[in-house]
Amino acid sequence: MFDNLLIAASFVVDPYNFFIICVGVVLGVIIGALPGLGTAAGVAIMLPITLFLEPAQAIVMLGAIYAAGTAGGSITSILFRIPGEAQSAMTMLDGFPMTKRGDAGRALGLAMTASAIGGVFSAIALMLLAPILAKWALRFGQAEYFALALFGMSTVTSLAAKSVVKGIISTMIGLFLVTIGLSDVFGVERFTFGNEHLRYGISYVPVIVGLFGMSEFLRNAGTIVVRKHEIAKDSAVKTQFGVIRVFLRMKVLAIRSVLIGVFIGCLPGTGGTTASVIAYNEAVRWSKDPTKFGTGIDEGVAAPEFANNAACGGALVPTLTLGIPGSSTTAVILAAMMSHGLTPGPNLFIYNHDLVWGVFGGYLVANILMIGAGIWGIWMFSKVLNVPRSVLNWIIFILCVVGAYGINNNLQDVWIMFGFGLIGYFLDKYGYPLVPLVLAIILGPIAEAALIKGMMVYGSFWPFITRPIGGTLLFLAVLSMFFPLIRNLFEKMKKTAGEQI
Amino acid sequence: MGERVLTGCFMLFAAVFFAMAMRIPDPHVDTPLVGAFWPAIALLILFVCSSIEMIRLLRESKEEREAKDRAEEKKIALEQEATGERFDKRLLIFGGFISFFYIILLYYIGFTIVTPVLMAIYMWATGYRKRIGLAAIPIATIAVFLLLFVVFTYIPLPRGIGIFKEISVLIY
Repeated sequence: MFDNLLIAASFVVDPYNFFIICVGVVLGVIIGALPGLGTAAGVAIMLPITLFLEPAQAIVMLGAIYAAGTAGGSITSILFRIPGEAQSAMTMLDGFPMTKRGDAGRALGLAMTASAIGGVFSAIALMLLAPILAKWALRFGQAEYFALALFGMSTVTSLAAKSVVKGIISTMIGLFLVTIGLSDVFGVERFTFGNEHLRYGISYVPVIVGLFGMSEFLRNAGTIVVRKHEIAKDSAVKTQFGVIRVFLRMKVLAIRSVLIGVFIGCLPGTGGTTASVIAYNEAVRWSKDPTKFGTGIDEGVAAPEFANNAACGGALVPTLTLGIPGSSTTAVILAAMMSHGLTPGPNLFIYNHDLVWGVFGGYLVANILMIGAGIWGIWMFSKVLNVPRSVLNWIIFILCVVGAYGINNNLQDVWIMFGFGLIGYFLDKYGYPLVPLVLAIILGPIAEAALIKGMMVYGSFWPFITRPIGGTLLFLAVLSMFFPLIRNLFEKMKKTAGEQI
Repeated sequence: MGERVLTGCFMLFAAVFFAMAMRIPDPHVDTPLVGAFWPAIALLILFVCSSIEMIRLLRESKEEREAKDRAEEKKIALEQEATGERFDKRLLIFGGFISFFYIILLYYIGFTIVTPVLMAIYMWATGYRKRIGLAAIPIATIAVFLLLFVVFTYIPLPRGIGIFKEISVLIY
C-alpha cells in the first residue's frame, strides 16, 4: 500500500501533472456552474482535447472536471435558484433561502467545503475498495465477463429511464451501432455498404460528443433568456473561510452523507442525484428539528453536497474495476479510457498499475484543490454566468466540431457527431435515456466477444448459467430488468393499503 | 405525434437492418454462432420494444394525450418561470441550420474565416446587439481557439479551398 501511495504522490508532484489537475478543477467548476451544461456533456466536450495528453493525465483531468463540476453546480443553485446540475437541486432548497437572507457567502463556502470533504473521503474509499474489487474480479472468465456486461447494461437500462421499454430501445440502438464494421471475432463485414470509413466501425468519440455535447448545443439554441438573474446586493458572494468550523458540529451528518454517497455511487446507473436526495432526506429524518429544513440552514446545504461528491468517487469504483460506469459522466470517462487504448477492468490494475495509482492520487488532489477554487474562485465563476448565452453556446458547438475533427482530421467524423447530436436531441426530447445507449456502445463488443469465446471454450451456453459468479450476475441482470415492475407493484400495494386504512 | 413518428422510425429501421443482417456472410472460422447473431438479436428486440411502445402510444385516447400535453406544458412553464428562460422553436431550427451550414462551409471556406463570421451572425440572430461585442468577441474566440488547437495541440484545422486556403496559410 505504501508503495502505491508513493506512486500516487510521484504522479501528483510532477509540475505538468499538477497543472493538468488545476486546469481540470477550474474547467469543472465553470462547467458545473453553467446551467445549460451538465458534467456528462462537459466531460464529453473535453474528451477529444484530452486525447493529446498521456492516458493518466487525460483520465485525471476528466476526473477533476467530474468532481469539480459536481461541486460547481451548487453555485447557481445557491445564487440563482437554478441547479447547474441535477445533483445540486437539493442544495437549492436551503442554499437559496440563505442567499435571500444575505448569507450567500456562507452557503457557498459550506457547499464547496462539503463537496471537497465528500470528494476526499470518496477518493480514499476509491483507493481502498477498487483494488479489492479488482482482485476479486480477476477470477472472471468469459462467462463472468458476459454476465457482467449484461448486468451493467440491464441495471442502467432499468434505472436510467422512466420507461423500461424506452431504456431497452436505447440500449438496442447502441448494441446495433457497435456491430457496424469489420467484426474482430468473425472477420466479416457488417453493415459497411462498401464504405472504407465504416469498415473500421463508428468511433466512440464523435458519437459521445454528439450525443452529449451537440444535443446540449441544440437544446440551448432553442432557449431564450427572458429574465436576467440578479443577486441581492447585500449578499456577499465572497466565500467565507470561517465556515470550516461549522463542520466540526456536523461530524455525524458528514459521515452518514459520505457513506450514502459512496454506496449509491457504486451502484451502476444511480449517481449523485439519487445520493443527494437520500442524504438530504436522511438529514431531515435524523434532525432534532426537521421543520427548519428548507428555511436556509447549514445542514441542508452540506448534506447533499457531501453525498453528491462522495458519489463521484463511488461511481469510479465499478468503472475502473469492472468496466461498468456508475453514472452518465463515468460512462463518458470509460469511453475516454478506451479511446486511450485502456481496457477498464481488473487487468487494468495489473498491466497499468502505475497509471491507476496516478489517477487515484490526481483525483484526491483535485478534490482538495476544490476548496481553493471555492474560496478564491467563486466570485470569478459567478461572473462567467454574465457571458451572453449565445457566446457560450457557440463555444460549446465549436468545441464539439474541433473535438470530433481532431481525432482523425476528417470531416466525416464531424458529420457523425452532428448526426448523433440530432439523434441525441430527439431521444432526450421524447424521454429516451442516452446513458444506456453509450453504455451499450462500450459494453456491447465486450459482451459479444465474451459470449462467442465462451461458447467456443465451454461448447454450450449452460456454463454461463451454472458458474457461481456468472450465474448470480445473470440472475441479478434479469432481476434488475424487472425491478421497475416490482417497484410499481409495491407502490400500488402501499397505495391500496393506505386507502383501506 | 412526434413521438409516434420517432417510434415508427425505430420499427422501420429495425426491420430493414434485420433483413440486411440475415444476409451477412458466415464467418470463415468454425464458431458456434454466426456474425449475424448479435446484431440480429439487438434488432429483433428493438423491433419488439418499438412495437410495444407504438401500441401504447396508439392506445392512448385523445383525452389522455391532451391531458398529458397539458401537464407537460404546465411543467415546462413552471421550469421556465424558475429559470427565467423561454423555449423558442424558431431559434432551435435556426441553431440546427446554422450548425449544418457551418460544417458544410468548413470544407470550402475553412475554420479561421467561417467560425467568427457565423458566430457573429448567430449572436446577432439570438438577440445580441452591441456592435463592438459582435466584432470583438468572435475575433477573440477564434484567436483563443487557434492558439489552443493549432499552436498547442497541433490539430490541422480545415483551411478551406482556393483563396481561403491561401489566407489561412498567412494566419497559421
